[in-house]
Amino acid sequence: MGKYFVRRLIEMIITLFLIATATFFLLEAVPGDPLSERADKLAPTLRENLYAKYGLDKPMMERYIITMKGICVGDFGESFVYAGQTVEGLIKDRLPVSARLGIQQVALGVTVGLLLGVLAAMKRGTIADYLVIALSVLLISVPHLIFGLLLQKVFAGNLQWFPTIGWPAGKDLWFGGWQYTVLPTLTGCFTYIATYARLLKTSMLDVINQDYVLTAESKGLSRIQVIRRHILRNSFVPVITQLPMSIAMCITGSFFIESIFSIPGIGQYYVTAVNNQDLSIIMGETVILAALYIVVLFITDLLYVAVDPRIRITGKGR
Amino acid sequence: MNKFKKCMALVLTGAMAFSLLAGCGGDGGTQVSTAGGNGSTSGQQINLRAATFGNNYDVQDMGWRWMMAECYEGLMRNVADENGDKFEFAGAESMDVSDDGLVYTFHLRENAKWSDGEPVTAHDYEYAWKRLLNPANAYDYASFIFNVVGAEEYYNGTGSVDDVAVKATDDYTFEVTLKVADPTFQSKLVATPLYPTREDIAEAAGDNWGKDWTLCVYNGPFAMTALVEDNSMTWTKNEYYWNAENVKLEQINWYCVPENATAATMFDNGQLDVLDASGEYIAKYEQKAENGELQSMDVEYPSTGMLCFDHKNGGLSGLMKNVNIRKAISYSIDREEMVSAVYGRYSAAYGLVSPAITFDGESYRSLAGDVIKTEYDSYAGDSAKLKELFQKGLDELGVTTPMSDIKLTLLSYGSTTENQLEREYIQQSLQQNLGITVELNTVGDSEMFIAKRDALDFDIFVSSWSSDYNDPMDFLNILTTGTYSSYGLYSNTEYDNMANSLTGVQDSAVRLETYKNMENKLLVEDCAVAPIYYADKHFYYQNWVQDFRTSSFGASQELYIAYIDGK
Amino acid sequence: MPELTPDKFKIIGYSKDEANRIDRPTISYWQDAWRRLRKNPVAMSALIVLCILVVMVIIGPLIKGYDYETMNIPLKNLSPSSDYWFGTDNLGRDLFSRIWVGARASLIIAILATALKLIIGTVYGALMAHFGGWVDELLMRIIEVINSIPSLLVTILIMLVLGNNLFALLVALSITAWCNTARQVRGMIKQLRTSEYVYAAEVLGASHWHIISKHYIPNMLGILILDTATAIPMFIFTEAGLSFLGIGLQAPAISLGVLIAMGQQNMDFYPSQLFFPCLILCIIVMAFNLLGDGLRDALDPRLRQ
Repeated sequence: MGKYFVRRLIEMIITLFLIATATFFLLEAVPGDPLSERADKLAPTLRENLYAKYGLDKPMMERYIITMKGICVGDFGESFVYAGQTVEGLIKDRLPVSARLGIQQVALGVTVGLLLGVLAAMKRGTIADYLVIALSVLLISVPHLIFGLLLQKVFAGNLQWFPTIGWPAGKDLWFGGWQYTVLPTLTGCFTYIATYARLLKTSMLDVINQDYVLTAESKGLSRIQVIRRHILRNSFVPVITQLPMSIAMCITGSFFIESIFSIPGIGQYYVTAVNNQDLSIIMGETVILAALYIVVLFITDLLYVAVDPRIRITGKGR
Repeated sequence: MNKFKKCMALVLTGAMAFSLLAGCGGDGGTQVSTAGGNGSTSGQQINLRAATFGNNYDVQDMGWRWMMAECYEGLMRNVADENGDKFEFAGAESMDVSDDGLVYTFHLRENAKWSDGEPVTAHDYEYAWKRLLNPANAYDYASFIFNVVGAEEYYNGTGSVDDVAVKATDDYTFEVTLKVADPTFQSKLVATPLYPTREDIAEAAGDNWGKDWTLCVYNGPFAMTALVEDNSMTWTKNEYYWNAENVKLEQINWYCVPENATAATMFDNGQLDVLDASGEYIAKYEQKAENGELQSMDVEYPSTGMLCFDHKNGGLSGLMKNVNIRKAISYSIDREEMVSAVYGRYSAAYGLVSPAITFDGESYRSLAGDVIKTEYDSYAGDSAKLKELFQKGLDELGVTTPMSDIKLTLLSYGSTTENQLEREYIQQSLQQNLGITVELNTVGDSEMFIAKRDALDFDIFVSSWSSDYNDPMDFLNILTTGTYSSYGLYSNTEYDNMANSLTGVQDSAVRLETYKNMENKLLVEDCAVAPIYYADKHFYYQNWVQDFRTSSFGASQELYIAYIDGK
Repeated sequence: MPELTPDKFKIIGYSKDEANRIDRPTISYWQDAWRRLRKNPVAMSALIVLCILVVMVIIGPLIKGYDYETMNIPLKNLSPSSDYWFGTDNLGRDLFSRIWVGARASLIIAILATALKLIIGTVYGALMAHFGGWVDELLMRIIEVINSIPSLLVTILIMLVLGNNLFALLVALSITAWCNTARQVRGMIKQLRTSEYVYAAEVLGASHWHIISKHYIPNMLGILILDTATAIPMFIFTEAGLSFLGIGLQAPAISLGVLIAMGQQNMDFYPSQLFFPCLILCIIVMAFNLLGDGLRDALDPRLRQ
């Protein structure tokens, strides 16, 4: 077991190194640089000084080494485009905001999705089943931007039930200020509703045809008992193993939802940084998100072991 | 075993959730980032929208003009009233100019104070100007004062900071010596890079200067008091401001609202007091303003949009060298139709210098007229005549390719509907009027656009110029040889000579005549660029907002005399 | 429960011939799948809708005879009418024609990207399963790296490097998508290799080709068909999402995503410009989803009757 952990840890570090390298050279391959827009209207001497100030006058390999050294000590550097913005500040100020939004979306989306999934599986082939499919397709077909703007217009604009924009901060950062979170959460939760409704439905249909369900039914257990004790329990394996990934992905924020509701999260910032070719911010966010992803992947593997009796951890990898 | 596994599953899920929370760790402060949550009792507060925040508090960087012009103050202030923009003394009470126009002496206001109560002195100005020129700081706007004795030498590393002729002769007298007399110098004084900076504060902040607003002091009518990035910002009245008794607003709340539709919803609900509208929203609010439900203000903005051509190689097609071909392209575009269909605002441009630029107190455009209008009118909408003009250009170049086989490349970027309509409109206009093929080369972002443009990978591209100070020269200068690489590399000795002939000339009649000749040379003789639109802004504001102002070179939304009445 | 007594049973006779008779005709897995799919009214109607859509994206732009590119400013922003069934856009172009041209682009992009995903994924997965050992480890590590970088970043950067064109869009869309297919194929082949019936076939002296064609391919086709049915709507979505960020096809080329993004900016004033492209997108996605569900039921051997 200990060996396994060490092995995974080394693998993670190698993966992160590869990701940082790939990100750096991908960004290098893009024509232009983060300062070109600013330097565009400058005289040559002014331009040279500007590039020297940000260290962009150095050759590529030298900058690569500087960047990688920085990553090793956790210093990603300062934004090229927005003075004073750093990755550390981003994690401290923006990540919690995106995280709360994402977690609320997942919590609501998964709950409703699972209920709908059970309904669709139990009433398979009926109107209810098709309604669930139609609803989930309909709701994920409408882009977040449009859906969010519509919700905002109706519930914040016309009915004035909820505030138009804003997000709780300070002591309300995690709990409180719920009215601000309703519309953004609603906008984003449908992705999860659709995903989990279908996931659970598929998995339940698999389980329903298993022999032990037949046995349970022929034992004379009531339908409710069969569903609760045999079907649901066993069909939750894929749901539980999918969940960590959803949580990891949800906290990275959503560009459009954050933009519509003026939520100071990281999704909006990331897209802006990519568009500005803001190397230090992109690098920092990428490495951190990738690290998060890898850790979650690891936890998912452990969860598999925990919930699926057929899998065991061995020292020899999977 | 089974039970153990279940426990493990729970623990792992819990641990993950916890690690997420712990990793994020809120700071538990008492910031409020929610709309309408900031309570000011007096009701003298105003709610405004910005599409993005600037996050830059270093005045020398001019990163964020609309914030800096309200929270800081320089020697002069650009204000606007019913009669248009004008300069007023602000940090300075008066100014003496020597007869030869070289020495400027500013007498500073002795009651001007920073938001920590310290007086604003001439040393603050001296420090700021020298800071601007320090090559280590690499400020974009250092060239603004290269005309000061010793300035350019210091910046280029050939001179010393002590030789820069900006000097605080006493606490309240600031003296600047220029190399040559320059009538445009005064119009640069409202620009934020020339605002004062406190040496003690800036040096103490070190590398964080201009990046962290909590380290800043302000000398303007308002001071920044709260900020949540990408969400909201609060300015409170600066009690130490020298004219604080005439500042009526107690608090200004800015909301960062990127989506126009969201801003419109908030404005309709009264959550925003002022809206800078665009597109279809203008028609909607114009109607409301006519019904008296709103107030409106349309102002010219010193920016001109234009088509640029490759003058160096003649573009990918090699055809852009010919003036008749450039003219055929320019006159194929129905500017009136384009501004209404594509932009839904702005006005058709028949000259380069924006009408927002004033000369001797009058709009430069009213003095210079629409330079290409007459010629444009003789071709407008007449496809046969335009084709003839284009063909004439081909003949002059000795090109025998039939026009239907000619292919031009239009380089552009940007993803908004306006960007898309703009390039499609130009493409369609040229194709329909000239019978040529126009290929759109659309790149992802401005950095790539610049890279492609500098590689001369185009025939035509769309660009615009926004002026930094109020003088026609700032527009005309963009096409002098070697100034910018960003307008198609036009280079003409005659034009350069006309620009150079103005050095040190103070006679406004001579200047005006030269400006007119330059614009004529540029647009009528050479068609170096094809101006498309003059930008403007359409502000709509609630009936309870009084004395709202806008200005071209200061804060676009001027609030220092605004107040709320009848809300 | 009613009691069973001997008098409830009767002898109906039995002969040796009857014992060996096969009542039903033998049908292959695929015949059975098709039979079951045909019996599923929802899946069949989805299939019919898809066929109609395919016909429409081919002939749709020709029905009204308007050019989808040529602008006509005096006719801009018209509401739906008998001349312009879906109205016109902000440069006065017929929205009906534009939607079918856009849907055509969206479908082509989705189908090509899916094909790319399947081909790369299958080959990669097969290589992993075939070689195993360190090759498998290395290839798996590459997948992990690709999956760990946020896909939005990869997509945007690829588009920036390669430019805004169809080829770049296909590469950007499929560069992360194939990983999943590769994993599935790898798992499937590994499972098949150790399965009893493949082992039995090998022991009985079946050729490699026989094993591949009779056992590997049919078994894998099932997952690949399902993969296709889910990937196509996903690609249509992703492409539409990218259009909102200004990445993807550029004018004059249009896709449903571009039309929706354009319509969104006018949604307060001309909702029809947003509604119709959204509607068509919805119909396409829903048809693929329902067909996919039907296919899954039809291809699942455990549901065989």
